[in-house]
Order: sequence, then structure tokens, then C-alpha cells
Amino acid sequence: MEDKLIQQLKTLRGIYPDRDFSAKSRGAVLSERRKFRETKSELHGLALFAKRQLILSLAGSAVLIAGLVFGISYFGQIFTRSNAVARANQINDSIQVKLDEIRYFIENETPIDVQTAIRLNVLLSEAKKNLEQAASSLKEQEVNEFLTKIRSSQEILMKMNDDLNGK
Amino acid sequence: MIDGEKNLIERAKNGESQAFGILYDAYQPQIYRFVYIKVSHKEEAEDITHQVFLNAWRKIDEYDERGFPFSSWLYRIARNQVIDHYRAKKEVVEIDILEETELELDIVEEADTKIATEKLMALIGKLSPVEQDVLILRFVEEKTHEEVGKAVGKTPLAVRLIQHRAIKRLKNILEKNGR
Repeated sequence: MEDKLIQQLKTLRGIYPDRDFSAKSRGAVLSERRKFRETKSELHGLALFAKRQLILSLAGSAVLIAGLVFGISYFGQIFTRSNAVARANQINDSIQVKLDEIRYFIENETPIDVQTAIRLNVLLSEAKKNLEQAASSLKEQEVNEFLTKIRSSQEILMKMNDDLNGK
Repeated sequence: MIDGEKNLIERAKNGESQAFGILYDAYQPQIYRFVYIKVSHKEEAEDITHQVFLNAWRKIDEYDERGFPFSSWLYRIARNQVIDHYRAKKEVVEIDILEETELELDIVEEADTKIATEKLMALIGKLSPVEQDVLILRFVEEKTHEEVGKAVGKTPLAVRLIQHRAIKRLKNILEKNGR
């Protein structure tokens, strides 16, 4: 009986899908993937664009920081507290290090999706804005405002760095 | 495995629909058969088979061929799809409490000669899902114990045991109906 049962099971091999169904299903499956891949490649293009923007903004921020370092030495006499210059230079150094790290991660290590690239661009714009305002404060000799602004930039860049490190 | 399968999979992973089309042509009949025997309903088998290949096409990047045949990967997708199908239909049946009277009584006579396809499928439907999978893959698709193991996530030895148990249960069901 067992052998006959197995022989009967083998007869089920004669089951085949309907040709019309197979043709329609095949076409639908393959066209679905095409749409999916196009969307994927569009997203990839967007991510690349956002990434390039990010690298450009990082370069802009680095120039701003270099200007601030020069400004601190030029307007150094406005820092009446003895440790203020040292503190400002320390924050600027930290900002430069963070900018370098972020740039390294973006260029070499981390694959970035569109959402991340956009979020990082927003954060970097905020950091840049703070640096620009810090530069204005320096010119207007508003030390506290200057320190507040560069500290804010430093915090934003640290957050970006953590984002890229997956923290 | 079909000729040049590895190359076809790589091309499909790179988005070449023609390559996936060849894989579709080679494997769709056996996946359909596997699903149809399990669900015993033509239209449902077609819907599930379509979904299996749609998922395979979308997720082909996730397929890793190291020691795992492409067909086994498709069978795994098919098994999950059938489970989802029953879950959606809320038709999960406790195999052991099925009424034996659901089987037509003349099936015993036919077992000695020829059991009609539908009746045989109804009989297989009395087995547990993994017993069904093993019997279909071993005797309908003539896969090795190792291939079946990869498709159902069991060792070859476990497949042998399940196969033995499934055949025994089929015989018992037939004998009970013969009394």
C-alpha cells in the first residue's frame, strides 16, 4: 500500500499552472520590479545630491571657523576675562575636529539615505548660521554672544557626529 | 538547479528583469504545484504563487546562495505565504480534530488503484503543514532529503522522520476509512 501511495503522490507532478495566468503573472511581477528599482535609483540620486550639498556646506563651515580663529586673535583684546580666549579657541578647535570627522564619515564610511542627508543638511545650516552670527558678534565685540553662538555650533556638530556614528 | 543559475541570479540582483524572467519560467510551475496541493484551490494557488514571485523579485538582493539553493529559498517564501494566507482567512485547522467523515469512503478502494487528484490532495490536507511540505517535496518534486531540509528548515534526518510519520498517518487515515 505504501508504494502505491507514493506512486499516487508522484502523479501530482502532472499539475501545471494555467498558461494564461502564468503569462499575466510573469508580466505583472517583472513590471513591478522595474517601478521599484526606478524609485530606488531616484532615491539614490537624491541621496547623492544631498550628500554633495552636505560636503559643500562642511567646506563652507570650515572657512567660517578659520575666519573666527583669525578674528579671535585679531580682536583678542575684547576678551576681558583671562580664560575667555582660551575657551573660545578650545571650542573652535573642537568644532574643527568635529567638522573633519563628519566630513570623513560622509565621504568614506557611512552610506547615507535621503532622510539622513536632509536632516544633516538642516543641522549643518543651523550650525553655519550660528557661526555667522558668532562672526558678527566678534566684530561687534559682544563676547558672551560670541561664546554662546560657537558653543551652539559645537553642540549641533556633536549631534551630527553622533548621528553618523549611529549613537 | 537550472543551467547558469548563479549567473542569472546575479543579473537579476542587478535589476535585469529578463534574467529573473528565466528563473520565473523555470521555477513557477513547481512553486504553483506546491501551493496548489497545499491549498486545494486553483484561484487561491494562483494568487499565492503570484505573490511568492513578486516577493522574490523585490527581495532578490537578500538571497544568499551560499549552501542554499534558489528553489529552497522560493519554497520558504511559498510556505510563509501559505501560512499568511490561512492566517488571513482564519482557517487554521486543528488537523487532529478533523472529522474523518470529510474523506469520502470510497477512497480506500481507489487507493489500490488510482486516487483521484482532488481526493489525494484532500488526504494530504489532513496532515500537518510540515508533513505536507515534506511529502510534496520528496515525492512530487523528487527532491533529496537535504534539499527538502533546506526548504523546510530541518535536518535531513528530521526530514526522514517526518516523511516516515507522514506516510504512516496517510495509511492510518485510509485504513480508518476502510473499516
